[in-house]
Amino acid sequence: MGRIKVLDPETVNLVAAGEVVERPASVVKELVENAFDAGATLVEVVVAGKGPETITVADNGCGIAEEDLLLAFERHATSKISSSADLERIETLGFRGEALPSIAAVSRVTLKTRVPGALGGSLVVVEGGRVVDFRPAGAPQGTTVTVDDLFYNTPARRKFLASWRTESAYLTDAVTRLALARPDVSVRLVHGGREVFRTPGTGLAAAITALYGETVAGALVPVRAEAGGMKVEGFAGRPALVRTTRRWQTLLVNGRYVKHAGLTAAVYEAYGTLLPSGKHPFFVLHLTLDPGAVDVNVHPQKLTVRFDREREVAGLVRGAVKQALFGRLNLIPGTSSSPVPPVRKVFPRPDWGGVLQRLGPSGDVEGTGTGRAAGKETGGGEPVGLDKTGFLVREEAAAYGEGFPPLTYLSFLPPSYLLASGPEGLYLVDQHAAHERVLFEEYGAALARGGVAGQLLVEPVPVESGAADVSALAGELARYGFVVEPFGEGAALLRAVPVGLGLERARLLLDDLLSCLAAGDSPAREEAALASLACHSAVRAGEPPDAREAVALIKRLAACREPFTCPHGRPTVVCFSRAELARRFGRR
Amino acid sequence: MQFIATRNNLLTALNTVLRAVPSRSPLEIATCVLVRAEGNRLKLTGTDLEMMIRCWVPAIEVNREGEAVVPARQLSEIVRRVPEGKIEVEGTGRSITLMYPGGEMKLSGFAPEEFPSFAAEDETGEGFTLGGSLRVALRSVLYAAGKDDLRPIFTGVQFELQNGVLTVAATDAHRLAVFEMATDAAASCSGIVPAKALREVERSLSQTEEQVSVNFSSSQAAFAVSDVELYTRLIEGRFPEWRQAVPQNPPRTLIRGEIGAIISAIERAQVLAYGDTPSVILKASGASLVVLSQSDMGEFRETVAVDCEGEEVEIAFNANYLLDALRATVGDSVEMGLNGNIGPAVIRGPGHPGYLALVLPLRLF
Repeated sequence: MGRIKVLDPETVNLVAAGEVVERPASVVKELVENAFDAGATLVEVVVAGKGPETITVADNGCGIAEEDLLLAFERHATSKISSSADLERIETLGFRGEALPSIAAVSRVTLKTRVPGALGGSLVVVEGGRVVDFRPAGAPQGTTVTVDDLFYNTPARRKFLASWRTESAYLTDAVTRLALARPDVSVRLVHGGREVFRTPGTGLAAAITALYGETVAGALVPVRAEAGGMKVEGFAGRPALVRTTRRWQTLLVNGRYVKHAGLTAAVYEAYGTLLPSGKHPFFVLHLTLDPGAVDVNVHPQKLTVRFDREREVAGLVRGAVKQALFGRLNLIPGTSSSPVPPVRKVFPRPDWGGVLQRLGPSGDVEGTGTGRAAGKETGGGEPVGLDKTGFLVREEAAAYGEGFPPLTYLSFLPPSYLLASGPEGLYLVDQHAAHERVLFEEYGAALARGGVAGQLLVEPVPVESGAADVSALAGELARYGFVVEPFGEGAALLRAVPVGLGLERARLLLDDLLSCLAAGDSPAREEAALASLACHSAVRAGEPPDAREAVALIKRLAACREPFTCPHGRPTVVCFSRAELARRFGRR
Repeated sequence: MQFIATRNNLLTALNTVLRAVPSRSPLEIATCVLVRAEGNRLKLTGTDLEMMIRCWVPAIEVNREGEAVVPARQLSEIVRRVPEGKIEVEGTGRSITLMYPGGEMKLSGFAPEEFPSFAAEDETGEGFTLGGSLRVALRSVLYAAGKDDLRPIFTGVQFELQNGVLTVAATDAHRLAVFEMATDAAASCSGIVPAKALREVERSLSQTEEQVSVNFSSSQAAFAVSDVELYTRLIEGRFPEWRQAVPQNPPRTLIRGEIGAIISAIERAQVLAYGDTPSVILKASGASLVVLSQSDMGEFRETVAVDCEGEEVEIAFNANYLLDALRATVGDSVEMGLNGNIGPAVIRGPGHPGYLALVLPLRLF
């Protein structure tokens, strides 16, 4: 007798369910996505018990007609697509027809539903994939699915679930992403009798406020760009909002939460030197593009997507975030997030046309403080175009740094701070960080022209070169202003140093550069070398500038492309607003 | 201690020694001044432990000799603010009482024994006197000394006396200034004196025509000009071998011109140069020197009439370095020898014998 057998349908269901229903969070995700696809405007997720004893997802969507109800629990039964051609243009979140049967295969599911207009609803109870009850019953409009005893019949899966604390964190995380994905739907999560959050369903800004709080919402800049039939909209965190984990990043493609390394990298590139090392930006970005240009059917969980034109998509995202960060905005920590009003407009009218309108009715947004602040900023972003080759057109240099406020130098605060007055109050400029930024850009420009000028020395200085091959690196070092000749084993003769650098600092820099340049051909090495050059050349803390130097430094900083942070991502300027000062003095 | 002195004498002495007193110091007593009444004179001393300035002024009467250590800034502030006239000071070691018509002020300080001493006073070394021309020597080189504390040797001035010839040299590694002069002194000595101390010597010399007594020992130097004595530690280390850097051959290009005209042209060129290193380009050919500068803001070009011999050359400099060297040149005319576009510029003044400045060029892209 042969040993290979066709599995019985029950086992097949359990195996297949494993792919879709990995943990309680996946159950919630599938059910909420079904609710979204049913056109619900209100979705409520209730989790009860100390373990995942009962999960209820209720919506006010279109419901399921009685005659379809049992079919819904059949594998690969769906109302969302009807042929393979539809797979090319998927516009719903679900389409595989796997969710309900998979969940029902590993738990006890009670489904109550009523289609709008019908007098009565129906109720069906499925246990381990078997229908145990099916009868007409009273039900509110929409669908309510209650899942009990998840994984009761797959003890192995149950055993390998993480602690309930971890599982419930996954669950909260999943509902958060879903709420961000559909800011036009009011999503409520109740956990152990306590409301975790409730988004108002009035747009992304309001959803972010509800999910992450006012502080986060107040520190965001709107992102918006459109090109070649693609659109990216959402919010990115100001550099002050950087986080130590990537948990605060949400990328949504056609309303679906996905993970995509290429697009995430594009956002990081846009931040560039605004990010301190080891820190991660906050962002919620909605990418909308032709469903035909993106493949979501890579994995049953649909976390992975593929793009037809990934380079263009990444370029659009990078450009949009960059524009948002460096456009007309003022990224100084402590200032309000509204951009400095353009000089010619006395009272700029908030532009409501952007994100908010697109992502949901803006009716109630004006009432919420952060919503308003965030809304104003949408005036700042302008669409970034793509040139004929499909690569991102470099943004106009003039657009950079426009948000830098006009500052008037007041005084020096030892060891390193320049005090200045400006539109919002008192500004503190870190002279080292500011000078570093200025030099970083000046040296960068010099490098682009050919090289940094070198100052020849009265007396050549012997320096240790360690293991580095000086004669091989001499050409490259010359671009950074060093003239170095080999001088026997492990030594070199220094004949010129970068301008503006004392001999001793130049020697320290040379050590840095040698290790930096010897590190090989990584694209980041030029940036690292430049940052090192700027850092060594910049004025130190504790060296008080005279007033003229201070004024000149602020002016040069204002002219920078990215004036708000030093090349290592630390802020160059912070602000103590008049409002904050008033608060501290108890005037308010 | 009890004495009476004029407010003006006291103030002069205080202002002089205050130049050595740090405004803040981890050693609080270093921010004080030591006041001593002795014979019919007052002796004030201030120090930052690297350098010490002592000033003698006459008193109207000294009734009881003695000394006190009191905060320097406060003492000078009060003396500056009291009306002109007599001030009577009475002190008992740790504090003094200062009395002027209508008022008095008591200042507390430290015990005089705790005041940091400066060994140079007793140390014997080579002593000699120099004429007031030391001032010219110092003015010719001090500008070239560096400010980079990371490399103390560059913050000093090499001071050498040999066979009656005094040579002072200063460099910050990018430029060099040297001045040589004949003296009557028979002694010989050598050391690196902090430029900061020599600036004070130069300042004292600017107020008098008198001779300077110099005393060099292995670790310290002392300069005495009339009523002011200055002691300083010497900087240890090897001073750059600048003689090797001075080209021995005749320059490949020699420019002779009027200092004022060249300085003005470079100053105008500097208007466009910005950033930390303002660079100017010199183009020498035939009878003209073309001064060029360029930046994002625009371009500058000026032709200065000069005598020019030798190769044509185009060379870039830090405008500030060139201006410093030219401004220190005494007289109307200057000779500038160039040695290709990476060799040093050698600046001499026919009206300024003994002066030599080296400015190293920039390598531009």
